[in-house]
Amino acid sequence: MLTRLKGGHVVDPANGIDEVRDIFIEDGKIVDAPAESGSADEVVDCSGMVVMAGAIDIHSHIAGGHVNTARLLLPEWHRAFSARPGETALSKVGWTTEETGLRYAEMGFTTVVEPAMGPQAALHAHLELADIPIIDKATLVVLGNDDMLLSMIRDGESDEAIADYVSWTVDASKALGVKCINAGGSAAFKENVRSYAFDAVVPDYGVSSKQIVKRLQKAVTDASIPHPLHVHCNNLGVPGASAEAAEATIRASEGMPLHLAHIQFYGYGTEGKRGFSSKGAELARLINESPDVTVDIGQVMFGQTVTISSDELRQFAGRAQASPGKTIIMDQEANGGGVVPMNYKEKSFFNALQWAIGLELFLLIEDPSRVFFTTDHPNGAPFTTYPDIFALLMDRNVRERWIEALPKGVKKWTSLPEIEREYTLAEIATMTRAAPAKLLGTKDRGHLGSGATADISVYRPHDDKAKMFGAAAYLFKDGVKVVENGEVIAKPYGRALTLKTHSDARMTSRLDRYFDEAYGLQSRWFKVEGSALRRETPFREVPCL
Amino acid sequence: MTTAWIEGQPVSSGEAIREAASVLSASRLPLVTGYFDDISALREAARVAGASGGVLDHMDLASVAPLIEALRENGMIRVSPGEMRRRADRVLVIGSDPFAGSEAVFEQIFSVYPDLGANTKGGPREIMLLGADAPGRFSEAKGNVRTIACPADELGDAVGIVRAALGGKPFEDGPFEEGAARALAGWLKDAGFAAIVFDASELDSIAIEGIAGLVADLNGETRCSALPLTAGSGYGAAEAAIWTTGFPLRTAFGRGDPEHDMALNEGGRLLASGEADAQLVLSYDDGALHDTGVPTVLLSTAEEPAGDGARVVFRIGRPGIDHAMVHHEPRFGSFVSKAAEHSGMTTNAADILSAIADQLGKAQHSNDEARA
Repeated sequence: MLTRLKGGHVVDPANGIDEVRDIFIEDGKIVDAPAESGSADEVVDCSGMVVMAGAIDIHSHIAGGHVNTARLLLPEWHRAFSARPGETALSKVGWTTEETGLRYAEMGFTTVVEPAMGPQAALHAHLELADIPIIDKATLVVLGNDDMLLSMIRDGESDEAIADYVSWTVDASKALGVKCINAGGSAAFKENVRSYAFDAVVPDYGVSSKQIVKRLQKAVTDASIPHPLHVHCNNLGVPGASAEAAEATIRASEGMPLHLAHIQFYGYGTEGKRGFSSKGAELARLINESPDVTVDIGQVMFGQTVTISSDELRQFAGRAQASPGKTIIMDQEANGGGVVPMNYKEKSFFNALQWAIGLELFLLIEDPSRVFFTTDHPNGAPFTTYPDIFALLMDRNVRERWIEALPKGVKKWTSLPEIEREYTLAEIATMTRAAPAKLLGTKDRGHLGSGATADISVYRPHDDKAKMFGAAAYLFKDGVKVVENGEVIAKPYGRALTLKTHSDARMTSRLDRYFDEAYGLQSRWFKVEGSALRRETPFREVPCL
Repeated sequence: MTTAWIEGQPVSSGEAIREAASVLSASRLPLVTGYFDDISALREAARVAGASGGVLDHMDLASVAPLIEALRENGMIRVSPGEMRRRADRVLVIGSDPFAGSEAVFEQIFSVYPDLGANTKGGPREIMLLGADAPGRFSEAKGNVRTIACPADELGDAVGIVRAALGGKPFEDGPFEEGAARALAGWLKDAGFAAIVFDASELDSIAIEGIAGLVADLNGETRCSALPLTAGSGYGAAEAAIWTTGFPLRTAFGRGDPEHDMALNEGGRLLASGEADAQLVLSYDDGALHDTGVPTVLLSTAEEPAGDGARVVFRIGRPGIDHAMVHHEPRFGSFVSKAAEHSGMTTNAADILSAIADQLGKAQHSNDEARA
């Protein structure tokens, strides 16, 4: 069946298009206009509307053991749990896999990456992803605190061997890339180390955080994985030390591609009587000067949320700020992690400045193809706050109104009030469509060219950009209309995007022995079988470089 | 081979599925319960409960409910068995025999000495059994084992006293004398990486919160982590229910949004009170179905399901034997899949539940259309 999206304002920066034109869909793909444009079986009138590729979220914690632990820990924000449910940000998210898919689709998102899947939680994560309707999903598997890798580095093993290990892990866990979270920090915490930095050494291994990041970065490149190593730096959120960690990590990348996650949480200085100031402008400058580095923001928005992280050391330290005051921390093979509830308050100087630092970074990083739109859901804020963030980026007046509501002292410590930039539609489409697809190596999406997967979001323009992006007029997933006027009308299941990496058979037998002898575990438990997920097409393979 | 019956008469599976959906949709509050060893069955059972406006429960949830309540009320610092095996130089084991039912985890942890960590590797593990009169299965453990007697019903008090001793706070006489409490607190504090193990089904949620508190206090200066043991399939089913429904079972769908209540939505109570007026039961044993007096849909692995009194009966395959399964593996601390041992002709319960959910969805849809 040929479907014609007629007369919309097509914003497709990947193909250099920003004009009124038709888009045609057939068999789930975007196709060239037929010779006779009137031959379409179905016509969807998009006149006066904005047509973009489906949005892609590269960093949102939507599935897996830690996410599920957060659901367990915080039933009170589930809409139906409390007698008088508050209108908290989390109450809007919903707490189930099903609602995750519905809420993303309503906003015009079609691909979401769960960025922190422990190798051991891979099947768990994929089971949850399989239960998320509509959107396609992908995962980044976490390495960098695991005994295997640290031992390999300590023992001077070759780049090939480490790339083999990385390839085996990506393939077994059905991941799309590799994430490294506070490299060595969790391993050090198990040795009762409470403070850890980029040059610090993990006791008992004699391996530094920097060595771990560099070796993993090289291995990811050697394994031909399209997405560069996705790094969560050391000392997240620590005034002064966070900015130093981000700077040191960027400088150590030495021209090799690197992605830094939720950079907002590293934009903290120590000036002022409160010992908390913005390093946003300096960090943005450094990123502008480092063309091989990409970042996502991890924007903070006000309200109740929960932080979910495999940075066990950081989450342990964050227990003091838990609100409500209960946390779950996990010591596990490799990273472990923690779940710490957090309430970002508009009237708190610290939280307000965090909010401002995120926006500074969004607006001062010049190239929208190197800065990605995230709240690190739910760590900075639930993903349901995205419409408000679009408005903040696209409308200076909206920013002014928000700034006016902040504590008076905040303005003095941020350059945000002086920033005039307003994101254009094309820049939004670059940041949320074209660039993420390129970063992930998923060439079939993020654009509206012929042959692309027909993931298409259509928005009704509105002066209030939050209204515009909060409810897609239409969303097509694989060519099927799934959302109309902001409401889900069909719930097909998407797939998890995976890579087919290759490792030497000797690595397989080595890991069979290793997991058994070291941990009393079977290596096959780490492997995700598609048949376990009970979906017709659980995976779609993305080619390696 | 017959695999489905209505009122004891063999029928096609399609007829049985339609009848099962009819039983559930005619009910004001159907209870969907069973053992759910296979997580695939739980995922589909959640759809059945949702589509029928019923309650989702697990027949063995009582054994993990105190742990679930303690985790969400208080939180905990926890350790996986694999990490504990390699790193815990001192282990406090609470209860007379907490590894009963968790033998594989016992073997995993205690068959070796710790081999990771500058402060923890190299020596024999020190193991303290609190609440055991004799080493029991620990006589086979690699490590130095000591016992401290404590009555089972005073284990929670004992933990409280150790916690008070650790914090330098005054405490009354308890299950063991003051010096022993201080010694035990000091022993934990001086560990390189201490672990505290307990059987979650043996303790109430207050006692479990006490253990979590002791672990939290110890981490003020040193490292310590807790390992709750959960035999059976209740914990894994609760995990899967959390992502599918938002809550760890005992969740009702009768009023639109899922509503969770550990006490109100307990399956046995709902049947006894008459609130639940139909049930779907997934059973892996040959035992007879308790006569609850309500219309029943039974899914059973028995060769000849003892469906006395059940309106609809399905014979199902044994998960992990007749068909592949996904289950929570305690040694791994997560889910694993297990292939079938042979290719059998019996049906996967998940497929039947999925078909019932689809049938309920169709009925719902046609009702909506009729109303429109």
